[in-house]
Amino acid sequence: MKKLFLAVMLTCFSSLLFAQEIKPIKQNLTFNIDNLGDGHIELAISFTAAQWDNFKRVMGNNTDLLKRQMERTLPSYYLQNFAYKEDAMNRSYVLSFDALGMAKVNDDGLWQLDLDMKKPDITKLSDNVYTLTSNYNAQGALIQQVAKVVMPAAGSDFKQGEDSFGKAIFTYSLSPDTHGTRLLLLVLGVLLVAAGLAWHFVSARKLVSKNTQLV
Amino acid sequence: MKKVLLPGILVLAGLVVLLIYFNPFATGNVDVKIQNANYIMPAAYKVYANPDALNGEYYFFKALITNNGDAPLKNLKVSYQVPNYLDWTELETVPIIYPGEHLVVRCYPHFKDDIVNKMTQSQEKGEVKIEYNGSQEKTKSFGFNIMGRNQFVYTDIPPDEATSYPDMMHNTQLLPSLVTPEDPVVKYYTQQVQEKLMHGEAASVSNKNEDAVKFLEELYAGTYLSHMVYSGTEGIPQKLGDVNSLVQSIRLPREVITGNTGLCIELSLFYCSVLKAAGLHPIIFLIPGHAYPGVLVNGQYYAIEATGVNGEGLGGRYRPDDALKVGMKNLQTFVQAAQQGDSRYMIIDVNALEGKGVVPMELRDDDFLRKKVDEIAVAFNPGAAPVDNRPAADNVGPRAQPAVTRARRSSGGGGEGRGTSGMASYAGAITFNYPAGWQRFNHPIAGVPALAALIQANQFSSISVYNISGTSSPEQAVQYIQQLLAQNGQSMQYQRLGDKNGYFFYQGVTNSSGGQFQWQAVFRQATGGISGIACGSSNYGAMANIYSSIFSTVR
Repeated sequence: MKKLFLAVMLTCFSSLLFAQEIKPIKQNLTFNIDNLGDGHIELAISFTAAQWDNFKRVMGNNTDLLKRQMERTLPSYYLQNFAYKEDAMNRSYVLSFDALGMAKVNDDGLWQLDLDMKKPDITKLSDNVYTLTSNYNAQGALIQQVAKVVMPAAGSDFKQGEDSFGKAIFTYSLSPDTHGTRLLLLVLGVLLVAAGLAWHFVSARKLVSKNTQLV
Repeated sequence: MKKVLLPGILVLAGLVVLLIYFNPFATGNVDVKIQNANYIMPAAYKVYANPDALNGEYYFFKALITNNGDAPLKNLKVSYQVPNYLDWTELETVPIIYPGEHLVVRCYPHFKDDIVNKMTQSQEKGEVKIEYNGSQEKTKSFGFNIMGRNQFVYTDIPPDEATSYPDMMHNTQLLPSLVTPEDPVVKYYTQQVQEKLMHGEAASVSNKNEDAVKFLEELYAGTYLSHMVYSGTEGIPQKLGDVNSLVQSIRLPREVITGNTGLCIELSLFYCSVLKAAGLHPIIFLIPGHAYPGVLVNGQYYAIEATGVNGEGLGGRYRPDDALKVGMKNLQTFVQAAQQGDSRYMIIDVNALEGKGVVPMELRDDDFLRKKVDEIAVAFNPGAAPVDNRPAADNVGPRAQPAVTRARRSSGGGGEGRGTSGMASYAGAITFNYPAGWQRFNHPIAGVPALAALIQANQFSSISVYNISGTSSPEQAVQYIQQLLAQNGQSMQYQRLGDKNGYFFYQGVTNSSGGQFQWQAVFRQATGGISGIACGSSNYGAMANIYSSIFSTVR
């Protein structure tokens, strides 16, 4: 995940040798992790006029360079479904993409999400939502970054920890088998069987009480 | 009958739904996609082995494994092999992969050290094996090239994706793999230069600019005396998988030393190897069609035109001091071009890249090569005849003697205007020397106490001395100056170059109605604030050497 931060900086400042701005650049990142460990990432970034000018000069019309840069800077994941939305009037853009395989099941049977950074500044917003705030100085420009990590709401036992290299990780429990449409199947099946059995027993009891009256 | 039938249907329907849920006949189905490197360069084998090197960009392959089936895959194990190079090696084990789940596995192979003995290119096969559910397995294979150890492929970006010159030179960040200061042969050569040519040196210990420049110049003198010559090597465009790239055969520094010849990039790598072996901070300056070496000391770059040895067959050669002058002139051009945003001008900072995992290849000692170094080092002795690797008629050895004498005489000064004579001194919160003929104005602008002095060479070039109180951050000090200039209608853009030993280096451009002013500045903490000087000029290139010498005196 740290590598994504770097990617964002490079995206904005490659070739930005001399266009420096005191005003920090604000970046908002959102990572939505689904039940199968895939990440759906959205990066929103806005610039000052000078920064936007430089960004456009570097990128030109080849916004696919953003994709290439992300792919090179995030080799851990398999990226796809890139979408780029630009709001030139407000000098901002939103880049979204999917990162397959961000979380995986570890040897303890828990899902594990690697942050790839040591001692990050993490704030817990709720059981499954955390924010990471970072400030970077990229070639003289200050970047304020807020990353929100949203882990699956269906998960439980969310914990922060460290891997064997001392890098931060999140772990959580989740069995995709018992969630979503699969869960509906299970519930529907049980309900149908229960309803059938209940119907049968009620009918049988009515028959018994009717026979009792006859006697 | 009817009373049993309807509940029975419900129960049956429920059982069918549960059967679908539990599906005892469901199976997992593995789908594998491989993204692989088109080639492996043996020289960079340690980069390919390190997931943290250059942000893990140089993986051998990446596999996307997807469970496309209805049932989980259990106890999945991914392994790979490269026949004749690497046996089956386990990459990852995962206890379970649920239906629809993806697993991404990257491979950073540990090739054996002897891969650097591979001299020619070959097509090889990588095989990936995925075992799961106890007995099931799936394999995939892919083709790639293993280059010869001297073959350097300049890019790994496919042509349809390349948009700029740096894209075509993307792999130059791997060049430090070919900088081999730990090579016993290079070490031995370095010792010969230090002992027989320089009669002792301590550039890395003194950390003085002039000592580093002297080393650079003496190193050139060594190549000059041994009659090292410039010569070309093979460089051909090749298609390697999706990539079209120039593939250049680059002689290793040990081969440059013992072969006594090299191309610009080879000489640069050789210089960097020796400079690094001597404890200095080597740099390669890459410009379109050329490369030359240099050194970074106290935040200041110095360069030398290593190809100045040229060879008589190529129309003469530079003496050491001339090679340094040409190098410094090239450096001025480099800085100007880089400041104008020309991305074709690239700096390869060997130490910085080594810090990112681009480490040199492993090379073994070689007695034969050491003897060759001994033969070459004979030329370092002023009393001895220069080594002659060429036919007798071509021997121009005697010319070497005056050159090295001259090199030693000039190396103490290190550049234009660097002598202590004719220099005035500014002593305040910061201290430095400047040419005595320049005009000094203390506190030139009333109401701006931060500007302690202005020292003018002429109306186009000057030094500003700043004492900014109330801050301990150089960054804040520069921002303060930026605001100060903005209040006077001037727009300043800057970048921080780095810091060393408590000194913080910046460079930038200031625009005003009077034109553009390029500058470099150094700041340090002083009592109660930050002090520093900014040396600027509307023609910075013309003043670069003088400013370099001024910066070297800042205390």
